[in-house]
Amino acid sequence: MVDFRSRADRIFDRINVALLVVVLVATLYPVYFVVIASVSSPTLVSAGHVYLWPEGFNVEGYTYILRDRRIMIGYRNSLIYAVGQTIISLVLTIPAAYALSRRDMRWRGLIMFYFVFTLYFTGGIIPFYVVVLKLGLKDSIWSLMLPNAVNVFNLIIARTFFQSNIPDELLESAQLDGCTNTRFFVSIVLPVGQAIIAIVVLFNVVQNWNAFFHALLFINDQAKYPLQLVLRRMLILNQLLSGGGEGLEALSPEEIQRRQLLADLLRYGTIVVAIAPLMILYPFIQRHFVKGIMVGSIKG
Amino acid sequence: MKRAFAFICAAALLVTPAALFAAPEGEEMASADELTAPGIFPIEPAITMVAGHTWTHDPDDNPWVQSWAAPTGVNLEWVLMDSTEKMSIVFASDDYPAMMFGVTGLHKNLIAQLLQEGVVTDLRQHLGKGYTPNLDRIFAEKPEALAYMMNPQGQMQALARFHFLESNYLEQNYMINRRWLDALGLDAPTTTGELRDVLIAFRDGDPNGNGKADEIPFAFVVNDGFAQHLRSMYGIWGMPTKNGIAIRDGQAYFAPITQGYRDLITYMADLYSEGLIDPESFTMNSNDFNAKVDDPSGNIYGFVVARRGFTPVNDATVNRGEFESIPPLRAPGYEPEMWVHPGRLAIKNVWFMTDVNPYPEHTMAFVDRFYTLENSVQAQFGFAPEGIAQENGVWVPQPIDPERRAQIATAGTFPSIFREEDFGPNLAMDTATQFLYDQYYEHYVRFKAKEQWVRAEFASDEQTEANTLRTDIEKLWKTNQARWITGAGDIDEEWDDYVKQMKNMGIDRYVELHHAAHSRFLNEVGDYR
Repeated sequence: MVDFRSRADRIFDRINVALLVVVLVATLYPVYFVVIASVSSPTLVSAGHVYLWPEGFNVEGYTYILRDRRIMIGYRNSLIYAVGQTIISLVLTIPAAYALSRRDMRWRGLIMFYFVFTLYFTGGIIPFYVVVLKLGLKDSIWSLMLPNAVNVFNLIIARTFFQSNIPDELLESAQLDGCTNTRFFVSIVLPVGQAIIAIVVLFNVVQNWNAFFHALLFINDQAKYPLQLVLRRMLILNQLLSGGGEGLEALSPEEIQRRQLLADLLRYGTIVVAIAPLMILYPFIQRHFVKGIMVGSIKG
Repeated sequence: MKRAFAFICAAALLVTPAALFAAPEGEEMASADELTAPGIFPIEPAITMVAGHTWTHDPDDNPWVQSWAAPTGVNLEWVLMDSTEKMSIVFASDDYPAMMFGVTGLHKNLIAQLLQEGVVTDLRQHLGKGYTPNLDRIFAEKPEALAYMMNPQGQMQALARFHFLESNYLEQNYMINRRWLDALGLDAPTTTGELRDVLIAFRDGDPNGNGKADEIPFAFVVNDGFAQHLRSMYGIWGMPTKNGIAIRDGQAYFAPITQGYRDLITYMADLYSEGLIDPESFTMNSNDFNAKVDDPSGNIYGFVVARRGFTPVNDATVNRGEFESIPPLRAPGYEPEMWVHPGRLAIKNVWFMTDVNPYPEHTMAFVDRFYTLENSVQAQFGFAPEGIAQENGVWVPQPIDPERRAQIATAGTFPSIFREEDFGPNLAMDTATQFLYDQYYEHYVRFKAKEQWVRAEFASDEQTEANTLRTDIEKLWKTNQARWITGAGDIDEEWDDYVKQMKNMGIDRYVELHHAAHSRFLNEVGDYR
C-alpha cells in the first residue's frame, strides 16, 4: 500500500491524533473513574489510592442502591416523565417550528418575537410556582410534563432546519399537484425532518432525565418521585453534615460516621445508575446528532 | 388550511394566561369554634393540618407518627420540605404548611425573617398559659434555655430539642496513638513541650515498625465547617472558642488578636517546620481525614484533635481503637479552657408554626405532648419496641441496623427532652454517648471554660452587620493562620500589621456586637457557666 500523504501531512496527522487522544482521555477518564470508584472501597477512594483499577473491589454501593425499591419506582417514573414530556414537546414543537419556517405565515415575526422574548425574560421561579399551583398541577405528574413543553431553543433549531432543508419550490410543486398543507407536513416535512426530530427527542430526554428541581418543588407523593429525586434523597440527606448546620450536635458520632461512609459509598454508584440509560440511548441517536444540530444552528 | 395552522398557534399562546382564572381554591378548614377547650384531647371533631418535615424517611411509614392521631384528634398531612430553595419558594408563594417539623439551623435566618413578617408565629405568647405543661416545666428548671431561645425582642421563633447531657457537647478531644506510644516506650504527654518530644519520637522512631520514615505525627482539619480541629487547640492556650469570640471577666474579646493566639501559632509553626504536621491538614476535609485514619494499611497518625473523639464503629474503622483520649496539654503560662457547644442549652429550630394555622393553642398543646421521655426516646431511637424498649422501667436503645434506625427515627430534629438525670435510671446510654460521657468526666470537665460565648441571638440588624464584618475578619484570620503555621509568613514580623488590619476591618465593632448579645443573655439568666 502506498502512502500518498506528504511528510508534512503525516506530521500533521500525527499531531492531530496525539491531540485527539489527549482530548479523548480527558473526556473519558472522569467517566471511567466514576465507574471504578463506584466498585472500590470508599475509604481508598477518599485516600486517593484509586487511579486506574478498582481497589478493594466491592459492590456494596450498588447492593444498597438496587435493594431500595424506590429506585425502581424512580426509574419507572423518570421513564414515564421523559417519554411523556418528549411526546408532548414533539407534538407542539415540530408543527410550530414548521409553521414558523413558512414565509407566507401571517404575524410570523410577531409570534417569533413572542417566543424569543421568553428566552431572555422569564417571570422567575415564584410566579412559575404560583402558576403551577393555581393550575392545580401540584403533586400531579403533569407539573413535570406540561411546563416547559415547548423549549424555545429547540423550536428555533427546528425552524431553521426546516427553512434551510425544505425549499419553497418543493411546496409549490406539491401544491400544484393539489397537496394540502397537512398532507405536505405529514408526507414531506416529517420524513425530511427525521434528523431534527431525533435532536429534539435527545434534548428533551436528557433534560427530563436530569431534571429534579420541578419534582422537588411540586411532587410530594414519594410514589411519583423521578429517579433523580430518589437519588438526591439517598445522597444529600446522608451527607447533611456538609451543610454544617445546627442540630448536628444532636447526632451521635456513630450516626455521623455512618452517614459519611454511606454518602461516600453511594456517591459514585448513584452517578452510574443515573447516567446508564442515557449512555445506552446515546449511540442510537448520535449519528443524527451532528448533522441535525449543525444544520439547525449555523444558518440563522 | 395554512390560516388554520396560524390560528392554532396563536390560540395556543393565549391558553396559558386564561387557565389561571380557572384556579381551584384550597379546601376550607373547619371553624375553630367547634372545638373543645384547649389542652383536652382528643379534639372532637378531629382536625387536619398540613405539616412540613425535613426527615430522611416518609412519616407515613412510621408507626409512631401514625399513632399520634388517635389519642389527640389531630391529623397531619405531610409535605416534604427538604431544601432551602423549596422552603423559600413555598413561603414566598403563600403555599406554606401550618407547622414545620425537623427544620435545622440551616433555615434559622429564613425563619427569623418570616417571624418579622408575621408568617411565623411568636411562640412565646403561648407559654405559661396552662396548655403547654411540659415546656413550662422545662423552662422553669432551666431558665437559661429559654433565654437562649429568645431573640432580642423577646420572641421565640421556633421550639427546640433539649438534650441536657453536657458531655455530648464537648467539641475537642485530644487523641494519641497508644500503639505508637507503647512501641517506643513513651508516656502520654501532659504539656506542650512533652507533646513536641513525643511527636519527634514518632517521626524518628519508626513506631509503626515498617522500617520506613513514613509516620505522620500530627494532623487536624481546618477546611470544614463542621470539624474545626485546629480551633480545638486554642483551648490549650486558654481561649475557649470556635468562632474566635470568647468571654473573660464578662467582656467579649476576639481571641485571634491576643498574645495567647500568638503563642499558639508560634508553637504550631515550630511543629510544622520540624515536619511534625501533615501538610494536608490545611486542605483536607473531614472525609479525607477519616479516610486516612481508617487507611487499611494501618499507617495512621500519631496525635490528632478530633471533634468529640472517635470510637471504632465497624471493621472498616478498627484503626480508631488505637487512639486514646488525653487531658488538655499544659502550655507554659496558660490554663487550659475548653469550649462546650451551646447546643447543650437547646438545639434550636426544630419546630415552628405559621399564621395559617387555625388552631394555634391546640397545636401547641399537641406539640407539648412530645416533651416527655417516652415520646423523646421514640423520636431519637425509633418507635417502641423496635427501636427502643422498656426493660425493668429503663428505656434501652435496641441494637438495630443503623439503616433501619434512619427509617424510623428523626435523628435529633424533633421537639424532645433528655434530662441529664434521666440517663442511667430511666434511659440507658448507647455506646457512643457512654464513650463521650466517660471521656468528658475523666479528662475534660474540670477544664471547662468559666465563661463561655453561647452564640446568643442577634437582632436582625446586628446580624446583618456582624455577617458583613465577619467575612473579611475570618478570611484575614484563617489565611494568616495557615501562612504563619506553614512558614509562608513570619508572625513576629507581621503581627502588628495584622492587628492593625483587624482594627481597620472593624474588629472592635464586631466584638462589641457579640458583647451586646452576650450581655442581653446574661441579663436574662444572671449567671451562666
